[in-house]
This record gives sequence, structure tokens and C-alpha cells, in this order.
Amino acid sequence: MFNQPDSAIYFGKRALSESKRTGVDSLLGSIYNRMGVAYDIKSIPDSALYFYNRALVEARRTGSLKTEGGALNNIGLIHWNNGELEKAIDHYIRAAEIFERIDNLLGLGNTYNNIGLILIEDGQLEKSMRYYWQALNIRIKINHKTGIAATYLNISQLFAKSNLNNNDSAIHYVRLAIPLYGQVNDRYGLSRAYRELADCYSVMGNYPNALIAFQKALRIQIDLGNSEGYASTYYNISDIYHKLNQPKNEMAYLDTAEMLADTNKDMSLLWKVFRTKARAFGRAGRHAEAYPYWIKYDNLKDSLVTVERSLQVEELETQYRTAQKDAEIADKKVALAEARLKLENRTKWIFGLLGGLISFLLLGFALFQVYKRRTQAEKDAAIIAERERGLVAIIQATEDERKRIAKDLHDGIVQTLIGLSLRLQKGFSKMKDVSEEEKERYNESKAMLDDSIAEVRNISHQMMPRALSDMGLIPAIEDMLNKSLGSTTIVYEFEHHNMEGERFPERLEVSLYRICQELVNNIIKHSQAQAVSVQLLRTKSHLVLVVEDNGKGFKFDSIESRNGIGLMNISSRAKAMNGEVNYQPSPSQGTVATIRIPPP
Amino acid sequence: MSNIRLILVDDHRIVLDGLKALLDDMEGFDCVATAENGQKALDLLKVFDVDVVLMDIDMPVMNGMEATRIIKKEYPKVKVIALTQHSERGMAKQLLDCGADGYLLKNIAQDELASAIRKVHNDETVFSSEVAMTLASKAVEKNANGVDRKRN
Repeated sequence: MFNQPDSAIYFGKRALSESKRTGVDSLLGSIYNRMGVAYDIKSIPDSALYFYNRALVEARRTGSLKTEGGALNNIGLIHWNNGELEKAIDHYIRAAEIFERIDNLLGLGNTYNNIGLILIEDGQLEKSMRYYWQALNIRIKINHKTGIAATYLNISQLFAKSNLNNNDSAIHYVRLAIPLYGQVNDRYGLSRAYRELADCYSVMGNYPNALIAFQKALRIQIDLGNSEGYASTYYNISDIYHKLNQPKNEMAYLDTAEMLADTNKDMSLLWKVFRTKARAFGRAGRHAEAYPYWIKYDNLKDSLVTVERSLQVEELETQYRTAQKDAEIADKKVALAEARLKLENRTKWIFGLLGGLISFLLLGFALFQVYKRRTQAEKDAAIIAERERGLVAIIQATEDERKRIAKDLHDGIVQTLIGLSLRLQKGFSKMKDVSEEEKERYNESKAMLDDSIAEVRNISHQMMPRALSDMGLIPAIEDMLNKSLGSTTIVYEFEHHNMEGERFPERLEVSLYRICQELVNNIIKHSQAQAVSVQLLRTKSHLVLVVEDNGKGFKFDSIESRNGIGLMNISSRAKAMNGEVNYQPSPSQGTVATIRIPPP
Repeated sequence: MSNIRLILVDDHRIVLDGLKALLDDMEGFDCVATAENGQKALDLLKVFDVDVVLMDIDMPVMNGMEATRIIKKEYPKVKVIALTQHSERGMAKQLLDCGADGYLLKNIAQDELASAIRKVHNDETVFSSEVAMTLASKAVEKNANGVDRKRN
């Protein structure tokens, strides 16, 4: 029955239905009781209690005191398991009274034994011992060998546990238990007895004997296949080897204990194994190997808190630990919160600083860019201004040089040549009897001389027209147009408005004259025009020169590429006078060039 | 008929010498004095009785144009022939406006010079052929002020 509770429940149920069907209900209480035991073994205490109570009711109804006593005993056991010690003792005592009344010594022995066990738990050791003695006497009387052995074992444990610390007595009683267990072949009991014996020896410091006893217990446990039992025995043996200073054996048994505990999910044992292994490695100086076990031990310690809650004392301890833990956790939470706050603050600071830094850098970069651009713009402006100054200087220097050369030619060579020409005439006029041949030679020479004078004079004139410096812009342009276009088929007209007799600074006059000259030269060379109109006028804000032709027009780019220097000169001269040049197609399909220069 | 009395004005000695030599060779001309600028010419006119002045234009101190205007104003009977290398139309016009009676280029032929002096002396106006061509050019010049007024 103890081995197959499911089958017991099945047959119990069948018995119940059979009993009800046949009306033979004298056994009903007993059946309920057995069903309760089956559920109790299956660790379903609520169901067990239900059936025990049904058994109690049925027993009282039928007057079966044996069943009533048994049920009360069993209910006490449930309460005991629930930690309700007073209720348990109450039920046991009522059971004992019944067993006494009907003289059921087996039941009475069992109940006394149970009361003794509970009283130990309640700390009433002497009272417990009295119940054990009563149980032992009863069991001896009826020769209940298993019971006798169990009570011996209980007495032994009581001696070992008690404040008397009487291990010799403990060993004595356990030694009485062992042969009895052997006789009834209760191997489970035997293993418990050997373990008890080993514990006693161990406590006494008799490690060799303890080792022998543990190993006997271990062999029996292995035979029984009770791995939960022998896992802790492996652990106990490892402890003995430790005491015997045999670390290799110690570690080997610890390894096995660890493996078994792990398999059985026996966290309590595993925890102890981890701690012991960590210590063992630590003692051996193998700290690297010890460390992970400390970690495992530490991790498991937390989970064990819940596992071991079932016992009240440990529960309190657990509560204490939990409270401690909670306090620690709370502390940790506070610390964590503080750390997080610090971190957040620090992060904020860092981000703030970073943001500030980035903003600063960006601002700096932007300012640098602005500065750079401004500097560049200033530089560009300075370069342009310098170029313009250079241009103006070049133009001015060129004009000065032209003027000087023109004057040298005019006042020097030309006058000399003229003087020569006049003297030549005088010399020839004084010659007498001149032949036709001589006269012809003279005329040729005179013509050559006059041509030279004209040529040099033209060069001088082109370099710096006298009319411009002597008479100003209008006569100079008029003369230039006459000389340039007079010998061509191009008809021209020259209009001037609001400028009669007015003179301007030489630079301005020369610039406008040169621009006009360049434009007219371009028309002659490229435009194929038949008519040219030149207008010079003064507005409120500008001197304006307009040169218009009816030629084929020109593409600015192509002209520039072909005759770039000419147009560039025009543009440069205008710019040098802060003026501007604009080219547009004329209404007559030619070109209109407009030059606007602010008056000085 | 008495010789035509002349003053030659030019700032270039070589030209003065050349002209003087040319005129001295010819009958009917009496070159009474030479001057190197307009002011000197005016000074000479106060002293000498002169029929014709051969006047260069470009000269220091006082140029030929200014001198011509003063001469024509103060000595209306004195004829002035401008001698220049310039054949600009504007220049010729301006000189005529100043009262000049002729406008010759300096490297003029001896005959042409003599002829021109005589013509001027006979109240004619003379131009050397190049200047005449310039003055007769096909350009049409519009009166600036007239056009300007119309636009207003």
C-alpha cells in the first residue's frame, strides 16, 4: 500500500462502491481510512483529511473504535505535517485513549511514538522521552519488531539531540535498532539507522567509524534506489573525508553529491555542496575554481529562501532574511536610484556640455565661415580694387607714354623733317640749268620727305590726337570719325547734346575717345555696316556715348574671342572710369554699344 | 607794288629758318621778323607794320589760336595764316572761328605758299588742299543744342 497509493485509491473506490451496493457498511470506515492514507502518501493532505474525517464519522456511527482511533491518529499526522502541533497532539491523545480502551497495543504504541516525535519538535524533550519509553514497552510486549527498532532509533536521536549530548547512549540505542531492522529486512530503516550511527560517530569525532557507517547506509540507499537519500549521504561522506583530511576523496564525493542534487533538484543540498566545494577549492588555493561555486552558492541562497519556508522556524528566519533582503534591496534600490539619478544628472551634464560644446563649435564654425567669407570678400574686393587700380595705372601710364611719344614725334622729328623739306625746296629753287631728270629726282625726294612727314604725323596723331588735348572730345571724335570713315563707303553721323564747348578731365576725355575709336575700328573691320551713328550726350548722372551701326551684328563671344583685346580695352577703360559698357542688337539689325560714365 | 611784309611765328627754329629761307628767295615778300610764340608775335606787331602773320598753332606761352584771336581783334587789317601739321576738321573750323584767313600745312610747297600769302593779302581765304578736303567731308553734323531743345 505504501508503494502503490494509486492502486490503493482505485481498489478503495471499488471497495466503497461494493460496500454501498451490498449494504455491508461495517468496513466503510476502514476503507475511508485507508483511502485517506493513500492520499496522504500521495501528498494530497486536503483529500486525505477529507477521507480521514469520513472514516471518523463512519467509525463513530458503526462504533468501530479501532477505526476511530486510527483515523484520529492519522488526522493528527496531517496536522503535524501542517505544523499545527497542538491540534496534532490533541488528536493523538484522543487516539491513544481509544487504543487504550480497546487495548489495541499496536495502535497505542504507534500513537505514543508519534506523540514523542511531536513533543521533540515542540521542545518538550523529557516528556517526549516518556512517551518513547511507553511506546517501546508496548511494542516489546507485542514483539512489534519494526516498531521497536523505530523507537530505538527515535530514542537514539533524542539522546543525540538533547542537551545531555549523550552520544554514547545514542550509539547504544541505534545499535539496538540495527539488528532488528535486519531481522525484519526493513532496509530503509536500516539505512536510517546507519546514518544515525554515523552522525553520532561524526559528532564524537570518530570519523573512521562514521565513514564506515555512512558507507553502509550509502550501499543500502543505492540498493533501494533512493537517490534523494544517498545524495545527502555522499555529501556527508565528503564531509567525513574532509575531517579525515582526504581532499581528493572529499572532492570526488562532492562531485557525485552535486550531480545527484542537481538531478533531484534538491536545492537545499546543492546549496550546501556549492558552499562546501567553494571552501574546499579555497582551502586548496584553487581560487579560480572556488569563485564560480561562490557565485552559484550565492545565487542559490536566494532561491532556497522560498524552498525552505515550510518549517516555521526557518520561515521566521526566512522572514528575517527576506526583511533583511528587502532592506538590502530597498537600500540597493535607493542606492540604485541615487546612482541612476547621479548618472542621469551626469548624463544631463554630459549631454548639456556636449550640446553646449557642439553649439559653441558650430557657432565658432559659423562665425569662422562668416569671418572667412567676409575676409575672402574683402580680399576679393581688395584684389579687384587693386586690379582696377593697376588697370587704371596701366591705362594712365600707357596714355602718358603715348602722349610723350606723340609730343616727341610732333615737336622733334616732324619739325625737323619740315625744316628739311623747306630747306630742300630752297636749295632746289636756287639751282640753275636744272634738267628734267634732276627736277624729277627732286620732286621724288620732296614727295618721299612729305610722305614721311605725313606718316610720322599720323603716328603722332594716333598716339595722342592734338585735337583732343587742344579742343576737347567733340572735335576730336569728329576728326577721328572723319579720318577713319571719310575714306570708306560708310556714311556716318555724329550727334552731341548738351556738351558744346565743355571740357572734362583728360583721363575721361581720352577714355571716351579711345572707346569710341575702338568701337569704330571694330565696325570698319567686322560689321560690314553701311551707316554709323555716334551720339555723345550728357545726362544728369552720366556721360553717355552711343555707337550704333547697321551691320551684321556680332556675337559677343565670337567677337571677344576673335578680337578680345579690343573689347577688353573698352571694358577696362570704362571700368577704370567707374563706367559700364552694354552691347545690344540695334533696331536696324546691327549693334548698339552704350557706354555710361559718371562725370567727375 | 610794295613787298608783302610778313612775321613768322613758330617755336621750332628749324621751321622758322626754313620758311624764312624759302620766302627770302622769292620776289615780293619781306620777312620783317620771326617770333617763337604768340605773345612774342603780339609784341612785334606793336613795333612793326605788318601785312600777314604766318602763325604756328602749338606753341608755349601763347598758342596760335589765342594769338590769332587777339590779332584779328586788335589789328583787323593784319591777315593771319595758320601754319600747322594738323588737318583735323575741328581744328580748321576753330581757327576759322578765331578769324584766321588761311590754314596751311607747314610742309607746303614754295609756290603754293607764295600764292596763298598773296591771296590772303588780297582778302581771300585759303586752305591747303588737305584741309580743304577735310572741311568738305561728307559728314553731317547736327546742331547739338537744337536737337537737345527739341527733346525737351
